[in-house]
Amino acid sequence: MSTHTAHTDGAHHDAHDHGHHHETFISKYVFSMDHKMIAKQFLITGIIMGVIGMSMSLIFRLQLAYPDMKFPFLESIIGQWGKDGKLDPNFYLALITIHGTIMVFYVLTAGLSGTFSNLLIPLQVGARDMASPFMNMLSYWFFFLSSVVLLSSLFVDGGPASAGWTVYPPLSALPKAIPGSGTGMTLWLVAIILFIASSLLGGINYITTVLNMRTKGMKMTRLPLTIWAFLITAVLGLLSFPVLLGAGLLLIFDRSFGTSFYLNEIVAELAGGIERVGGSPVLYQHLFWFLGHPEVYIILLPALGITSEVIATNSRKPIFGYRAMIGSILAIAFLSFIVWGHHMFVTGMNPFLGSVFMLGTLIIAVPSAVKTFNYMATLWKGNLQLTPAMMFAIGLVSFFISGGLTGIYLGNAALDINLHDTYFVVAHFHLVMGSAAIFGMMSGIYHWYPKMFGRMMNNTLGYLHFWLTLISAYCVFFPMHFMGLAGVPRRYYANTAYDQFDVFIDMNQFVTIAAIVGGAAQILFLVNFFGSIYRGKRAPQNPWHSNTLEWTAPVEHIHGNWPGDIPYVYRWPYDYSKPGAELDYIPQNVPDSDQNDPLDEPKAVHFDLKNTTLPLVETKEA
Amino acid sequence: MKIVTSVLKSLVLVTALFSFSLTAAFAQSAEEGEKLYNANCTSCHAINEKVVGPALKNVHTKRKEAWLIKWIKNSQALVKSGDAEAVAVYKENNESVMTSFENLSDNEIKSIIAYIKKESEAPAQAAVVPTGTSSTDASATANPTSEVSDTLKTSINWLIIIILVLLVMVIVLVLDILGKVGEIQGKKVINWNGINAKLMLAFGAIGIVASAWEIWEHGKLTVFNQTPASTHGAEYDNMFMITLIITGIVFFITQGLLFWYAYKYKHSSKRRALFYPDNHKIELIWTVIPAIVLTILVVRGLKTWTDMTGEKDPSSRVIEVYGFQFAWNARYAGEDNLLGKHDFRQIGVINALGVDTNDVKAQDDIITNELHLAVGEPVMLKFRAKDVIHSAYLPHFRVQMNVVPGLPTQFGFTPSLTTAEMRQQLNDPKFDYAILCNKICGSAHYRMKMKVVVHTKEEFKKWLAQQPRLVNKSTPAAQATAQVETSTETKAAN
Amino acid sequence: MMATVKQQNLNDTPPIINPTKFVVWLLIVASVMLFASFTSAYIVRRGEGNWLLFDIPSLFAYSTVIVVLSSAAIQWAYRAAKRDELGQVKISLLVTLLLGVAFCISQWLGWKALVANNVHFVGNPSESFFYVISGVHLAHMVGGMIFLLVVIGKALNSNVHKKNILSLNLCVTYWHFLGAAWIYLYFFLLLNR
Repeated sequence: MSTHTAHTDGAHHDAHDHGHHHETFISKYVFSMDHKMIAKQFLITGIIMGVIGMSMSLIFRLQLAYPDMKFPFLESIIGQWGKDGKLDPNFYLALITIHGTIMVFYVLTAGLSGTFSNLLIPLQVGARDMASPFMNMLSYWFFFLSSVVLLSSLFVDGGPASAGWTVYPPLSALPKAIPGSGTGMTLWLVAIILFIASSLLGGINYITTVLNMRTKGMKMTRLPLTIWAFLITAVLGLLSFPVLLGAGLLLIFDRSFGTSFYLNEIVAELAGGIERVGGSPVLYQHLFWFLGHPEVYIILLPALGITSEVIATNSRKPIFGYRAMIGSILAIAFLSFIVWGHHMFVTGMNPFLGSVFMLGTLIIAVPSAVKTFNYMATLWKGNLQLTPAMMFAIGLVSFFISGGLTGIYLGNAALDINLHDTYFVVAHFHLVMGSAAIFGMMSGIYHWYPKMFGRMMNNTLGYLHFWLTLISAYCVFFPMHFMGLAGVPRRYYANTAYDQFDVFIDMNQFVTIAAIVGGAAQILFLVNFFGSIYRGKRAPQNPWHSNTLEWTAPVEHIHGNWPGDIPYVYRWPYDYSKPGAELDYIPQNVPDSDQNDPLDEPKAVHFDLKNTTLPLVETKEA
Repeated sequence: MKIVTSVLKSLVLVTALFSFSLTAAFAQSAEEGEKLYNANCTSCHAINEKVVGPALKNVHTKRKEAWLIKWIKNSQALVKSGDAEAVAVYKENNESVMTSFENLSDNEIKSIIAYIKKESEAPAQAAVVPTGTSSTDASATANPTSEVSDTLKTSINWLIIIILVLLVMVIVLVLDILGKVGEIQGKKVINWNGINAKLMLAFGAIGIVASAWEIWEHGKLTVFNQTPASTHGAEYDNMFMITLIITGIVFFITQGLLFWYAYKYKHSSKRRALFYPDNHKIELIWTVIPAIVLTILVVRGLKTWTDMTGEKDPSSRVIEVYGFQFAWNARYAGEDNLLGKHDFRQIGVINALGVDTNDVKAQDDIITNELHLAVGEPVMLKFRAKDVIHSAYLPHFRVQMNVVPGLPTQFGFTPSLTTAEMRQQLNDPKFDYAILCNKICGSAHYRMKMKVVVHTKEEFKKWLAQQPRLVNKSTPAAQATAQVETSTETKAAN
Repeated sequence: MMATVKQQNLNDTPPIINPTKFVVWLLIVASVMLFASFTSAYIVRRGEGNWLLFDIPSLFAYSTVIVVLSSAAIQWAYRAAKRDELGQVKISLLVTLLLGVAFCISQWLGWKALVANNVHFVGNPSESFFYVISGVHLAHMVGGMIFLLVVIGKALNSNVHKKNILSLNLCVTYWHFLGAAWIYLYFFLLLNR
């Protein structure tokens, strides 16, 4: 990762640099307190975890497509769990559990929000660094430690946690119930507690920085939508992760000390010699989903924020309905705290309570619809630069529509009765939160790669990566809906036990092949990502002709972000193709001719749709 | 006097419960073994292949009978005792714990072994037809040919993958060279913006056609293409269809527009984008319209939900469904129409369901490992679990409810199609309803199912009468006397 | 406690509130959510029945009084520091620390009294919850005391005064939070049995 050898020492050795002590390799690349380096650390750890998580999914997809086949190579990868080339059913459950945990927490929470919040918050609000760089560094190292603990659980006796990523007790609370509920489960809990610590340290920092450390003129109504999304995400995390911590602590007490918070009427023989009475397994589900549902938006909001920014920049148009976008982020965030019960419609909950949760859940569709329509209105009459980042952003909108619509089935308590825990659910969340968030992340990587590494990624590879990923993701997840509608339950090691499911053999094979193609496409990305660090074209300062502040900082990373003064902000970030302007973008730090105080508003532009003919001004775009 | 009789009765019950392991003393035949095997072993074992547990073929020659009996009754005790063979088997199977079957008598285990012996010795072809259940039948008949075509298919699949990967690599190389040539010549050889825009259009068009085709084609495989097998199913399906139509329309319009815009407004250096930051009227419209549509869905949904979960017919037949790793049991009330109480502390050695042996009402209860229902007769399924959370899922009836240890749940519904009628409708003589486990519960989660049979009312009565009662499970004669006893008892009580 | 970015340029816009202060407030929010999760779990679980009643030993009432006193003591330290009366700062901080230790001992004895009353950690959830809630609070208290020790160390070096009051200010905020949290939890446990 030693890309920036040609570093700060030359051109930007300004007066402020006198406190710039000598950096060793350790302080620069390992225990770095610079937000840009920490962002890269988060990203690369996230990518590695993503590769592991995705490989796991390929292994269990093979099992699902060819339940009767033997794959001798499995034994060389997973050893005792793949004896004679047959995947062990216990290890299948472990794989889906760890795949889910890795993807939800390690890739799409830390890898996505950790990377881009760290990279963009100080740069886009105009701050020298995070409020507390030290806490920021701790945040990464807790995350790293947590990843190591989780991965180490793959090698313990009995295998890693296998109770599904939601680890419902009693399955997770009774070490004897399944092999994975022994040491593996303990390590899982330790990993998650470390992860919560990381997430809280990060989140607190993000909120403080956004609220307190904006440069002059950066009013809340001038924040890029990325920052709004990161801010609200951090607030969601701050309010919901402690609840998961509470749930986890009680689970640890049940597992290790013999209490009965989540256990009821379990005979002593099953529960480590202590009879368990008086707890409630459903209590855990309430606590878990109180985190779990906001967690969905912790994953999705940053991706949506990135999309807003990328779509506006590459459409050369202001984002449509900026205030409505902020409003819908706030509405989604608020609603996400009162709808956790929709994960529990079939736990025998009070029907009235079910109705309340159903109402709240379906209301979320309204702000989501507003966001979708606003994206499309932004594209409308735009001048779309179809960069890889832009295409991934369009892909996100497509997944957000597809997956969002199936949410209307699952949010409906009545329909959920027959769809709960089937492949329909798998299809739904892999589209709306899996694929959509991954596409958001990819979009962000392609867009801000020049900012992170000072070089451009290869576009051709990017296009191929996009098309293969888009097609394979749809081929993997779209058919799953129909398996779900036929009643095929999720988390089945094979669909061979009920002959009504035999009709899906072909579909399962198709899905697996699509998944392998999709996985292979990620190799293109990896080659492009790591190759471009060394061989990419050198990036210009503002490659996408974007308005936001990060592009006013020099390409080479320097401590403190800007060599001189931090630029002041005179306008909102979406003045693209503004009538009367010479270029089709006006960066935030450019004042209007009559604007002296950054806090003044620039001249409003009156536009009349009927009279607007698109001016044929030759722009300076390449 | 009455107290004395009831005490006596419970004594009888206790002894009976303790002795029902002995009752199979005469059933050493492989035939009896087959029944026991299907009821107890198939969730984790098969004869010829490793499932959750190892394949059982020739197990009678590999291990001694006495050892097998000990192992089956309580494998963990054997492992802890330090038995080298047991420890080896335990390690070999990744330390997954085999369920203890202390309720099986030595003789019953012997008959299971006899059955395994018979199956192991059968010629290979026949060995695939071990149980006579429909699923294995189907695979058996298709077996010799399908095995060949399966391997063929997979190798073709692999070939396709390899070709695809190679193709991608070639494309990348060619494009890279073209790009470099362009760079040297100083102009763009490939207009990616135009190509990508066209691809966007193509993807949108093909995607829409393909998803429409899939909804049409694969929609036929779903349970919504079948008449629901319960009375509330019609309302449920109706709700589903309304949602499908509304979301379908939105799906096709928005996806179509999205990819159309991506094509239509592709970059051109000859024009500028329209500066159009907001329009409150439009935003209001597309906030209000989704809100109205959702209101319709919410109102309908709430009605369906309350209809499905609301008050149920109090005259429903109550059936207890009991889930444990990795099978289901059903318990019916006997002549007294009342289910006996249960007590989890009594779960164990013999009393797998933890039926309260002190409760007289439990005496005539019937425990089965198939769920039989009568068409048109409302039932209330009461769910109970032993170890971890399971979920009882009956897709054809549009029924699902979690089965939680220590937290009783229930679901009431009325079956509306018998198994025979459904078979006719699906044109599938082997079709059977099933209750599936739909909450991750361990390695054999995917095999945890129970056959559900819907009879006509007369057939159901006949079936129920044939089932052994809890107390005198064994002989039909004793059963008859028990019935007489109970009826006199009820009369006396009256 | 934490390194903040040095103002690298005089023209940089100053932060709106001191970031470190803000961070402490957010940490408190996180703790509040943790306790909220326990207390709401407590209420949900209690609503399901099979809930064992037991008497809360009077020691916990003493703890509550001690916590109030310690809050008063640290407030005294803050006022003294603002008036630059360094001797008083040292004394009052030490008093606070002593009261903190007394609180911990009182809680410990309270648990012992519970055990003597046959109320065990492993038992009915009503009992387990009591231990968990008071235990997690005690863990926060221990954290608070470590923080307090750091501030005392500074104060003994006469490093806490009018112009260098931030660390004390943060400690006061956190200490008051600990007190308020315990008072809330005590009355919560007392009233929701």
